Amino acid sequence: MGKQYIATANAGQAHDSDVVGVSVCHKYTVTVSSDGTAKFWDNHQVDAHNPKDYVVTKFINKTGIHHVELYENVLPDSATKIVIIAFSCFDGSVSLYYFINDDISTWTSINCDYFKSRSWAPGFYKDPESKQDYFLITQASGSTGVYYLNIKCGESDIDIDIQLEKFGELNANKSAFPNSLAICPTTDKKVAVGYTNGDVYIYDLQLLKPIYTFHSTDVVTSSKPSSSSIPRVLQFSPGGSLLAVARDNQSSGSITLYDVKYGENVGTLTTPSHSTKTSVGGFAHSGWIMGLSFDETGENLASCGFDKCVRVWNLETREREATITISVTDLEDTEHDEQFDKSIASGVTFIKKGIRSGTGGDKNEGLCVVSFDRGVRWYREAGGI
Amino acid sequence: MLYQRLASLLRIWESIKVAMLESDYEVVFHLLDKNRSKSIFISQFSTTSGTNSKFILYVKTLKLLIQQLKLKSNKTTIRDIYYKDVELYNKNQSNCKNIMVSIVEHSLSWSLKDDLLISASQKGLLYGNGIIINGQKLDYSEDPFLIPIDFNITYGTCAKYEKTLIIVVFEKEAIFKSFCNYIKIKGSLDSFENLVAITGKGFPDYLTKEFYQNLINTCSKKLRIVNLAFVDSDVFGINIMKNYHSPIDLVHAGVHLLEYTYGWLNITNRDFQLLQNFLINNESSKYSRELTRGMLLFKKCEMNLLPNDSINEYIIEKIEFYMNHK
Repeated sequence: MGKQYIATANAGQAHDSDVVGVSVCHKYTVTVSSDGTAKFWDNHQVDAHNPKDYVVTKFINKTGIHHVELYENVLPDSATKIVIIAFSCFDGSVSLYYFINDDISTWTSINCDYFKSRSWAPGFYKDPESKQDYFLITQASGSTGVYYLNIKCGESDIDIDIQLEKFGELNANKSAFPNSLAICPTTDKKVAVGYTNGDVYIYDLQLLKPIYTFHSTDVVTSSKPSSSSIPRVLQFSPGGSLLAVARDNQSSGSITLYDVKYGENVGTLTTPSHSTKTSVGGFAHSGWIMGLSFDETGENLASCGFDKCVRVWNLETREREATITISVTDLEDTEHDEQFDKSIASGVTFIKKGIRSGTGGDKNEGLCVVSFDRGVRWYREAGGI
Repeated sequence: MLYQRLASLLRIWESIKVAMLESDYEVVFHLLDKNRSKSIFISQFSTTSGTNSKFILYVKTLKLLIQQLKLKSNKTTIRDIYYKDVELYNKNQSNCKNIMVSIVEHSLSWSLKDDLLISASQKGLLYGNGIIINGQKLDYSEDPFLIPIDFNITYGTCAKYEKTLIIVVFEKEAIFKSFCNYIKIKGSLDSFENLVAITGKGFPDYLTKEFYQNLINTCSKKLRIVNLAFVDSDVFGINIMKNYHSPIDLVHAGVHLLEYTYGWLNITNRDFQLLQNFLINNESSKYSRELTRGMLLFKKCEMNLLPNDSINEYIIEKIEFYMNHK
C-alpha cells in the first residue's frame, strides 16, 4: 500500500436518511439522500471549516432520491458555465435542474415531459468535440432511453434553453432490470448498461446496437435464490479503454476489468487472501460494492461498499494503494441511531486537483465518501505539500 | 339491545310455527341479497331437493341463533355455531356463515358482531407472562392459545420490572411459535417479566387488533410499554404492522435488511412496483428508510425459520436493545 489519505472535513447527520449518491462539480460536492433532498457543499472553503455552515439544501422529491448525475460545461460561443443535475427519485421520476456560473441562486427546474415514472439510473454524455451531447436513462421496462441534450444560450447569460429530444433506445436485454449505467467520456461514444441478471452490455451510442456482452463471472453457484451477481456499479476509465464492473459475488463484492476495445476480461481486483479457497476467486471487498470512481489520470480506481471501507487500487499493479475504514466515530458529530445508521459506504468519488480548497488541495487529489450513517467525508492524498 | 333482537327473532319463529301448523298455507321466506335490492324467496315445498334442504337450513339456523341468544354467555363465534350441526351445513363452515349473514345482515340489517355478538372465528394467537387475562395470569410455561373473544385484561405486580410491559407482534405464525417454544424450553426470562407475544397470522383480524389495542390502552396507564414488531422487510410486512393501528408508536424491531442476511431475496418487478406505490402513497413514512434500502439494493428480507435458534436469539437481542434504549 503506497498512498495515504488524510481526512480534511466531514459532516455527520448530513441528511435525515441514508446518503446514497455523490457527485462533484467545480463549485460544489452534491450529495443526495432517501430523505428527498440534495445538498450542495461548498468546495472552496479553508481546511478548518464546518461544512454544515456552507451548505445549500434543495428539496427535490418526497419519496427520496437514489441517483445524482452532473453535466458541467462552458457553453460554446459563450462564457456561460452551466451545471445540469439529474436526480432519479424512488417514485420512478427524474427531475432535472440547472444553475449557471457557479451561482446556486440561478437554480432553475428544466421542464420535461419525459421521465415521470419507471426510470432508474441517469447519465450524461458530454461530447469532447462539442457536437452533440446526450442524456440517458435506464427504465424498469428493460430499455435505456437515449435523448439528445440541446442547450442554447440566448442573448443574455441567463437566457438558457434546454431541450431533450428522444433519439432512441438501447434494448438488447429487455428481460432484466437495467440497474446501472456508465457512459464512456471519449469520442468513442460507448455506453455500458448493467442488468440485475448479472449481464453487462456495451452499446454503441450512435448506432444503438450492442457491441459486447459480459456475462457474470460468478464462479461459485449457490442454491440460495437470493444469491445473484448484480452489477451494482459500472465505470469507464477516463481514457475510455477500460470498464470496471463491480458485481455481487455471494455476500462479497468483486471488481472485474474489461477491455472495451476488444471486449475481453482483463482481470480482477482482489485483496490478498490466506484462505485455502483461493482457487475459487478473490474478492475486492468483503461486502457488496456500492461505489466506483476513477481518478483523473485513470491510474487509480476507488471502490467502496458494505464492508465499511474505501479501497484505492493501482490499476497497473492491480494492488491496493490504500484502504480507508469508515465508522461513525470518524464524524465530528457522533450522535446517531444505532439501529439504522450503519457506516456502509454507499458512494465514492475522486475530486480532481484544484477543486477542494485548503492545504494540498491544488496538488493532491481528494476523495469524497457518503454512507448510510448519514455522514459525508472528504479526504485528500497525503504528501506533496 | 340483545334482548330486543332475541324478541324479534322469537316473533319470526312463532310466525313460522303458526304458519306451518296451518295446512292451507305454504311458508315462503322473503330474504334480500347483499345490496338489499333483489328479493330471494325460499319456499317450504319445492320440486327440487336442493330448495327443500335450503328451507330446512334457514329454519335450523334461525333456531340455533335463538338458542345462542338465550345463553348466559352471549359471545360466540361462527365456528361454534357451525359445530352445533356440522352435517346440516354439509361439513362446510362457509355455508353456515352465508346463511347467518343472509338472515341477519342482508335481510334484517343487523350486524352479526355488534347486534348478536357472533364474531368470526378467532385467528390471533397469544402467549406471554405477567399479564392477567380473564382472571388467569399468563405464564411462560403454558402453550400459546387463541385470543379469547371475551377478554378482560389486568396487570399484576412483578417486583423487579414492574414498570415495563413488552408487547411483541409477529407477522408469521411459525416464527411466533418458535419464539414461544424457545422461551418455554428456556424456562423463565428474568429480564422479561411482563411480556405479551401476539400474532395475527399475517394481516390481523378484528379480534386480534381489538385485543392488541385494548392491551395497550389498559396497560399504558401505569406501565411503560416497549411495543415491537417482527415482520419481513418488505411492503407486506410493513403494511401488516400498520394494520394493527397501534395507539402508541409500534417499532419495526426486525428484520432489517442490512442485518438479517439469512433472509435476503431478490425483489421481483412486482415487488418493485409495490415498493414504489407504498412510497408514493405514504409521504415521509417512518418506514421509508427501510423500504428505500430494499429498492436501492434490489433485495427484500424475509424472516424465516432457521435450523438453529439464531432467529430467536436475534429476537431476544432486539428486545433487550429496546428495553434498555427506549
